[in-house]
Amino acid sequence: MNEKSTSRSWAFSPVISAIIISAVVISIGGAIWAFSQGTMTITAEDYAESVINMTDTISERFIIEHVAYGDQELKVWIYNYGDVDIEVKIQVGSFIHPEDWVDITEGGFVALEPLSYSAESGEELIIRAHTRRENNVYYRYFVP
Amino acid sequence: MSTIGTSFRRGTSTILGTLIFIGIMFTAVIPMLLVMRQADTLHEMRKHDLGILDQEKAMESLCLYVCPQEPSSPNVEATIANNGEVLVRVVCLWINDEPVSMEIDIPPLSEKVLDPFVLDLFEGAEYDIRVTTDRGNVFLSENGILRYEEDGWEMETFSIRIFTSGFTWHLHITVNIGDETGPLIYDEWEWVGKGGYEVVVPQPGDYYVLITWWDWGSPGIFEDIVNIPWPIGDPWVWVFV
Repeated sequence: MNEKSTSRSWAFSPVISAIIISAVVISIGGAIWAFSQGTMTITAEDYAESVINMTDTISERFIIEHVAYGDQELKVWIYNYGDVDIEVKIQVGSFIHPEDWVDITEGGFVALEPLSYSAESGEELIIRAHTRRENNVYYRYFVP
Repeated sequence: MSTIGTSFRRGTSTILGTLIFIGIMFTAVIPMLLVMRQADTLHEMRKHDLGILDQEKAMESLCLYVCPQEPSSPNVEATIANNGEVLVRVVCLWINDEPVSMEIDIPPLSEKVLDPFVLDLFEGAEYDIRVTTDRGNVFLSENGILRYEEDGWEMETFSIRIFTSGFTWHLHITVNIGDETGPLIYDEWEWVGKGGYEVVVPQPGDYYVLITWWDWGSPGIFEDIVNIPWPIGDPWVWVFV
């Protein structure tokens, strides 16, 4: 009788304890839910973005359409026939030109600013055009 | 009473935990997987499209023929023949280092003649003509570089090449421009042997060729209208007798 009285005095009502434990479960579960939702949203966005970037990288299509040399200047025309905008530079020997990336919109072509370059008649030039996404195309040009 | 209460509390927590787990699965994990799957699908579709684009680019087959309208005329005519199986869009015509933007569609196995364009004429002038397609191919002129010299454009020699079956024949060859009623430009007896004989004509086009032998009264051993297809084809035509 005495023991019964002690256990009764120590115990809360079963309903209250159920509410408390439920509140704890809901609190912790809600926190985990919120955390996992945020994490997974970020993960999904990062993944989608990386896939989109990768898709853009493999979607780049461009050519060195034409090259001309005269008066110690090398002129290069680049045609972007892909579906994404590109940023491009060229490399001739050790020269990388121009300093800033040149934007070429999809379907557009651009004559790069002439590069001051000294070459002899008959000399073979290997011209590399590369984009910010690290795609390359090459063009072999014989100086007239 | 106490035992029943504990199990009730555990049951409630289990149900709530399960609901939360299912909630997390349906509102976080599954959407994330769907987004990832969607991105992968788009990536694969793009790869497929690019594969088709690259394949079509490789299938493009254009022949560009450029020829002056007259031997000393500044007007030059360009003919583009699409010998491939895909529609080709020409986006640029290059005259030396000058691009001329255009947008011309050429269906498969057909050809288009561009409007004549004018070139500067001076002795020693050279013109390298090429075209660019929207799939990134550049095609050079099949005629090579056009050169203008003192006496006009440096052009091909157009001819009718006559071959016999091995023996040497004394043949009477007549050639008229167009058909048999056209101007007579060649009327000679010639010995034609293994090496054949070449009648030089002024320009490409149709010619009426009549070849007889021995005497005027004999029937013609060759009588037909032949065509020199340049610049679409060779600057000569074969005639076998």
